[in-house]
Amino acid sequence: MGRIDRFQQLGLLTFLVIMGVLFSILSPYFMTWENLNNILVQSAVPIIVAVGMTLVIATRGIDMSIGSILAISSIFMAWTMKHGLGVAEGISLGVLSGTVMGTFNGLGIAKLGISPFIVTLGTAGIFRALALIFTEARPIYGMPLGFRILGTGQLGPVPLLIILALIVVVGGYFIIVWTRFGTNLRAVGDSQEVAYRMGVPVNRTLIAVYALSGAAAALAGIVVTARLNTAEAIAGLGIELKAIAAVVMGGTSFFGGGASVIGTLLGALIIGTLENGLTIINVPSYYQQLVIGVVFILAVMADRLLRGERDRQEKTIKQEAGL
Amino acid sequence: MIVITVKGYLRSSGMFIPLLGKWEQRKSGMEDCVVRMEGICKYFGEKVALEHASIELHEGEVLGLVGDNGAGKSTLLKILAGVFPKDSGDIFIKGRKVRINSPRQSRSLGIEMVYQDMSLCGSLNAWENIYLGRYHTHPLRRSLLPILDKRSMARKALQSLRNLGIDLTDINGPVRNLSGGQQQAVAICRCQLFRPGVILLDEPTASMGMAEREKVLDMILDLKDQGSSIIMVTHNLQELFQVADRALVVKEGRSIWCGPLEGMEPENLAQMMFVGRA
Ligand SMILES: Nc1ncnc2c1ncn2[C@@H]1O[C@H](COP(=O)(O)OP(=O)(O)OP(=O)(O)O)[C@@H](O)[C@H]1O
Ligand SMILES: [Mg+2]
Repeated sequence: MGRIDRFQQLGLLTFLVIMGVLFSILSPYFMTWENLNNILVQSAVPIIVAVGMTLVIATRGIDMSIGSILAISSIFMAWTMKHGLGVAEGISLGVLSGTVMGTFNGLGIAKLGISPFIVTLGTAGIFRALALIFTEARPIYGMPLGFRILGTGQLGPVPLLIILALIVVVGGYFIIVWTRFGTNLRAVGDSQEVAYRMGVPVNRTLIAVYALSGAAAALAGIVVTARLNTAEAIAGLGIELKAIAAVVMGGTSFFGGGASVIGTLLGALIIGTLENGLTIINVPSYYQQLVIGVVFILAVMADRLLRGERDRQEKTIKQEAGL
Repeated sequence: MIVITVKGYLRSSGMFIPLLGKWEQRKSGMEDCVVRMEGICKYFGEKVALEHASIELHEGEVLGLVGDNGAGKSTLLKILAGVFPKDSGDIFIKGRKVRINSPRQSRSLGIEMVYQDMSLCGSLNAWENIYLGRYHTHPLRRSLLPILDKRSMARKALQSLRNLGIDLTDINGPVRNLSGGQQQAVAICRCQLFRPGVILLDEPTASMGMAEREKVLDMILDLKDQGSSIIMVTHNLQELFQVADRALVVKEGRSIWCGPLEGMEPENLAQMMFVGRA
């Protein structure tokens, strides 16, 4: 966490403010309490999964399966609550199932040495299929009131799910900045070989990172299920792209080494504001997809330009030195 | 004249005959051997990196490890550091046969290594690199939440770098922004911070300037005085004679000569390294 991070975050914040000003000029409905609240509520799910994705990308990995994990754990908790279990048990089992599925990803990546993209793309298909098979593609309606409260309730003026998202952000920040595990995962992202030589438990770190990403996806599953009062197999479709875009925009690099949860939060808010603003100024939703796709590619390109160049330079320097 | 006489004496006494891993020190008792590696073989596919190489490190000595490029010096040390598994051979620490399966295990046996490539994480800062794998946590809060004690780590890292004459203006900047010599200093600080019994140095001064090099050599002698036993790989014979008590010559994966450096001529050693005999 150096000065460069702060600089980048200031840039993101400025971008967010400029976007806000632009949208409020284009529409009088944008800059209202209700709408700003709306943006935050809409962003809760992307924020939660993006924090998990931040840890993953910091290890030079990627998790394509979070959407499927979100769906399956959402179905799992809905099903258990429908079959007589309490809200707390349902939530616990849901989060546990997400963690188990994430651990499964981690095991494939750490123990079998298959690339994270391939493993999680594979499990994304498997988990999604399992969700469809289990529900026969029919949604599960009607959650208990105590559970629905999570999606609609407020603590004072603040919606509960915004509080949940904030807790996840603070937790992610704490892990990365203040714990051994956080530094270990950054070291693993920088160089697995060096981390191994220094006695960092590389495999355990990787498995834990994917387990946490799965847990975050399951937490997002709570939000989705509670808000819609429905669990369905197609929930969370395409959420991984949004998460990756938020993470990369936030300054966590595909090339490892740096991880910024605050950056991720800003990235997710930018995407949320963009979606909301475009809707308010009546841009049809298929154009929104286009805009988000372009933002995603621009963020990845910027990462490649900024960090990839540095990586190449380091490599050539090392080659020239004969190392 | 004297030089020639000494040379003649050494030659006639048979010290330059390749010993193929069995040398005289062997019979002088095994207790004073901190590390003994015997008949170590290592293959990388078809490539033979080590072929029945042996090494003995005595308590409290600096052993110079020399040889041509690609002779197998780094590979030998990496096997001891747990980076590579050996294909055959035995390792003894203080007379006890050990298996070293990982760098973690090697560290727990009190072995530390400064790697030839320095093995730093470029995007982590100096103290994060120095303490990587064994961070300090706050003593008070350790039982509740393992929060990193960043301040104490940064302070201690800064201090030990100062002892090497390196004053970092920004202890929190990524080490990739440091000069080669500064990076090497970070790697050296990392190995000596936990007072290991055995220190393996793979060309520790390769990218350092004159002044820094002298400081590192001083530090090596200090560490020796404090009781560490040290193996140092170097291509710089002047440096070797300055700090090492004995030398081991490795050629094409075999240990071909080992003996004290006192009274030895650099040219003879060089000849041994490149030709294989004096
Ligand atoms: N990871 C590896 N994979 C394949 N071959 C290797 C590997 N590491 C070393 N070798 C080979 O093993 C042999 C010994 O290498 P090593 O690095 O031990 O030599 P060295 O004595 O340290 O040389 P230098 O003085 O250049 O550092 C070389 O021929 C090298 O090509
Ligand atoms: Mg070497």
